[in-house]
Amino acid sequence: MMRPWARGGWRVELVIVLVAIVALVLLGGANAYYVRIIELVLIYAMVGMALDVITGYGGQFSLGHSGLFAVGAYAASYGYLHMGIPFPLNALWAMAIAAVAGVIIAWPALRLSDLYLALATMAFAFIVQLAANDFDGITGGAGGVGGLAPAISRYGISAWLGEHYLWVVGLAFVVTWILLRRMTRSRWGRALIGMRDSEMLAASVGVDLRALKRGAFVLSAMVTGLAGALFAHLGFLSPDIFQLALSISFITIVFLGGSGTLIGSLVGAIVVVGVPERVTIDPNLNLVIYGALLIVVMIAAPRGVAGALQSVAERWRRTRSAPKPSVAVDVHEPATPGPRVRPSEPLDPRRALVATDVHKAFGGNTVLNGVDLTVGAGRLVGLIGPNGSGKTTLLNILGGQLIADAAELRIDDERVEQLGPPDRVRRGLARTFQHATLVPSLTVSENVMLGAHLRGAIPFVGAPFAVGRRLREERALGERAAALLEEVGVEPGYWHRRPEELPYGVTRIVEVAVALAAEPRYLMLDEPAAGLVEEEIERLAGVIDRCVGSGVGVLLVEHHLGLVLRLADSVVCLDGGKIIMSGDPETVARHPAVLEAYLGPAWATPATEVTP
Amino acid sequence: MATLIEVLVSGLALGAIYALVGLSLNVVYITTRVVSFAQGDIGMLVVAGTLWLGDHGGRPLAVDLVLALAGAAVVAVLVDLIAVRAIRGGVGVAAYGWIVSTLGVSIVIQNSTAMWFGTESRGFPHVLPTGTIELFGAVIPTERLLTVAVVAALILLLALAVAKTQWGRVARALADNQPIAAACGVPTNWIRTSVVLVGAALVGVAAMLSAPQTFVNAYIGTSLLLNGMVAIVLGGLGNVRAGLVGGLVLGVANAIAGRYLDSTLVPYVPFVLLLVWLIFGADVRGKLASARAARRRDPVGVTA
Repeated sequence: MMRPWARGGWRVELVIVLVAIVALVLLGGANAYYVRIIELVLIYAMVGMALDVITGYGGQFSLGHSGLFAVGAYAASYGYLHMGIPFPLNALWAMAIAAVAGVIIAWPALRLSDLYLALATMAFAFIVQLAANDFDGITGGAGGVGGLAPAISRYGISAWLGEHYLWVVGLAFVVTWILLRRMTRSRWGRALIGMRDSEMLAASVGVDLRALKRGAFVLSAMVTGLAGALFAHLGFLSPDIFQLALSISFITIVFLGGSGTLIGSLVGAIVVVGVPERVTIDPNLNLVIYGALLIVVMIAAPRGVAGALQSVAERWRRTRSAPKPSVAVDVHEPATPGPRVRPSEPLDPRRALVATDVHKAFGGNTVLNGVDLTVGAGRLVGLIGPNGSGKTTLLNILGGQLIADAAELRIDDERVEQLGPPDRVRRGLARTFQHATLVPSLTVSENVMLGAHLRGAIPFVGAPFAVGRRLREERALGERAAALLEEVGVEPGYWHRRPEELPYGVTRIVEVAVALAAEPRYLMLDEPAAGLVEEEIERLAGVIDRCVGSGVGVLLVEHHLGLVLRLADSVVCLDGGKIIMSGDPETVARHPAVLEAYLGPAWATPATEVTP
Repeated sequence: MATLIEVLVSGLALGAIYALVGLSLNVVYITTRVVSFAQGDIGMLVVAGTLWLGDHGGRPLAVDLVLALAGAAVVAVLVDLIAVRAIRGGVGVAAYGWIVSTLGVSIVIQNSTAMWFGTESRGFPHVLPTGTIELFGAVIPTERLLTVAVVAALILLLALAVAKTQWGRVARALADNQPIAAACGVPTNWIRTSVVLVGAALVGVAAMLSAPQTFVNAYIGTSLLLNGMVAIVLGGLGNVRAGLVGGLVLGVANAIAGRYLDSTLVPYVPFVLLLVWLIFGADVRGKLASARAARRRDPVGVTA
């Protein structure tokens, strides 16, 4: 079976390089004017790819890339003219300076939510725009800086490179594309898309959102700095180039070409930079058209030209290769779980998920008031209680999605209440959510691979440079996802579909597979059976039962009392933020307080027989 | 002392205008969760439109102002329909597609305006009576005091409408929970449109009040938008009262900088203020928010 994330090995990269060489040979024969336009297109496309990483993949809007581009350009020109750094080396220097600028913006701004980042980066762009006019020593003021074309350099190699500048730019573009492409096709690409579509889910499978945002932003800044350096050596820098409008051009390049595709930026750059160079009736009309294009693209094809082509290709590939789900035979008929043998040995509190004295209030509304809960390894605790009794709040506190007012939380005897969700996942805790939560733009199997994020080993900084290792990791994660999907009984026909195409019942079971992909030792399920039909519930019961049997401690929040009573080793009943009853399922099921809280006063009469 | 009073008054007048732009952004943001990057350009359309109408036919200024305001309001509604509502509800990046599309709208409005209005900067007639009064030895233009008064009156009017009228109740319901408001029979699209109209009116008045002090060209929308955005970010997006304070703070800071700082440094003030606040303000905001939460009992905390 094709595994999209594993594609793109060195063979594809070789093809990219060969095509690029052929293209450059052909284009290099054009006259100097056209060559200059091509260089400009490639440089802008590089910035587009850099912006795509943080915005298209990561979902963080930056209006500051004109500023980063300027920082790169001026760092390169200053290093070249005043510090004696020869041409190819000063590009590295520019990347470093742009990275520093990226760190300065990213560290504080990425603590803030999306829109604030857009505004903070916009402020940065304006400050750079003003500074480009004011800091004459570096920027030459309004007059600009000239004499940057490497052809007139003191250094022999620079001069040679200046004569073949299209090759320099082309090489930089291709190398950047290949490196970024590798990153986006590693586990980090999935993590970025997961973060973009659902921060909550991404964090719950162990993606450290803040670190990833910062890492991606700094990577983006470095590439933008490199592009700025290449731009500087086109010959001349004038401060009125680096206006906010340039940032908007970069955004246009990304969204017109196709966000989340990298190479779409080349298409975008051709339209935004290349076409106006040739066709200009009225500069204002040009801009009107390009603004209108931006609106039309967002309405009609939010994933841009390359994105639209990609989905067509994907649909075509799928109709050819993937089996239809409807007729598929159930590959894994789960054995209907009989009464599992309940563990008899006493519970070891050092091998357990333990919450002690949990308090939480929202404003003046106390939701949890001194709750204790222990989920031992290899045991299933059913958490029941009426709506609003605090079950999900307790799960959120255990998972780190909410901070308790007071609580002591331990995973295997280690205190975790100070840790964020990713660190708790690292310590073996996974969960599902009450409302169906999958990453909409990833396929089912990619969602499960995202669930296994922490099972991957390639670090973010290494991802652009890993070839064989990345392919092996992707294959391993893909095979693991396939095995898990088969185990929970999702038909192969669904594996390469997106969540929106799934029946509801399949969605819920895929969520369990996503949580299991992290290989947790403790698993929290929030109403996994809600909305499922009897047959699907049976399958779910089988999955949960095998899971517990393999030593995982499961905390099951569920309204389907029959399921809970059948699977649980012990049951805890919450009502009004307090545990009103706990014990083995039989006792709890007959307890009047539980019946009253759960089913209403009429059920609390002792004579009533419970038939779940 | 006299200088300080003059600086403060001019700062407050400036700040009142920023606050008004911020209010217009906030009102729309609270109801629609969108900060239109074209909002400043709607203000620009009002003043540029007024000048253009003045060139074509001899109506009184007041009539031209009203006509231009109406025209700009129609544009604002169209922008909401085409560039915001049409692309709502996407997943992934598309969820923030309105940032891109309203940036696109801004480009379209600015450059198409440049085509019919021209690219040159023009003066704008005084809308409010001019003159000066003396206060503690300081000479203060009445226009500035009246600017503050007009803005205060508008804010009061809006606050009353939001608090006391059925429109206000319904708009607040829409802001809180659109599906439930719709389920209760609120004509959500019309309410939304009315809020967009109010936003357009507010930014239009802000442009009318600021244009006599500066000038008018096709591109002044950007600076209107920026100052309004800085104002609401200083105050906290979606927080109307704090946004107004943010506007005043920005205005006073600008006026003080203009009086006492080197003139090349003045343009940096709003952006540096914004960055510093974004970087160091998070902790302050967090403390303020938790203090507020502790003081006020939150009736809707049932997420369990």
